[in-house]
Amino acid sequence: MEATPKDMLDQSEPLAPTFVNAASVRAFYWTGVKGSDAPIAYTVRGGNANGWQWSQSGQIVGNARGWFRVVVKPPAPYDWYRVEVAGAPQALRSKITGVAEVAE
Amino acid sequence: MSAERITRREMLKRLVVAPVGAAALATLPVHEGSAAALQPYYEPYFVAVLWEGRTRCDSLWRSLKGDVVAILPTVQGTTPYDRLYWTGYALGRAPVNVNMRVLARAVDLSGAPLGSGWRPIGQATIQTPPMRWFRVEIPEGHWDEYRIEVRSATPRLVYSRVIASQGYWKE
Repeated sequence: MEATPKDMLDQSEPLAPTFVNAASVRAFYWTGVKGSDAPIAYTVRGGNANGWQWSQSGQIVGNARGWFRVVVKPPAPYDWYRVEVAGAPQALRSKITGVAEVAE
Repeated sequence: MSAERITRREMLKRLVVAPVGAAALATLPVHEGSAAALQPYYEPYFVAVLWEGRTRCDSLWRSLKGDVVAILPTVQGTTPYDRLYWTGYALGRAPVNVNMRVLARAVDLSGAPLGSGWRPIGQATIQTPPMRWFRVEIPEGHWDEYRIEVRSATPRLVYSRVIASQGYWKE
């Protein structure tokens, strides 16, 4: 991870999706471990082949080797999602789980 | 064509087994992240018993399984579950005063934790009269593994189970 925004697959092309065929997913649980104390700025975008239609931004804070969890609940189903991160260089180990039903 | 009388269970087994050929399965790229991915999904919700047994509580933080090895999970393969519940009761005539805490972590496709340590989810003190049931709802679902620890200043035997549910009750 570095200062230039890139997605979780290390793609810097802003139109490239991180994952597709996600229309059935109602919520994403993004969990992982930070590599340093520096905060991580993230943006999650939802859309389709015609472009991005929704986005949510935030910051992941915490100590080095600290666990984090980000819950993303898009307002509508989207086929494509792009998860972008930026910040001081650090290794980020994380996973994203999608679920088809949400409680709240 | 002949008819035969079978049970509903037998019919379900045949429905599940019959259409799946070994050749077709062999050509599919299958990546199982955890054992839970193999569990069937029933509408509108699915409940699983993840653990059930007896825990000898003492002054050390112990997993419900009895160990004090902090790297070991109490339950695994919990990725699909929205909620976990811990229910049980403690033997003995004295009032129950047991501390509990819940830790969680995520693992990669091979089952190795993404990082060291755990994320603390919450802690509580179970205080009930003797031989009374308790129930704790674990707030954060969808972690891959949980470690549920208990301790008690007075040694107690706790009988309990951990259940998990996915999908939501239609009310």
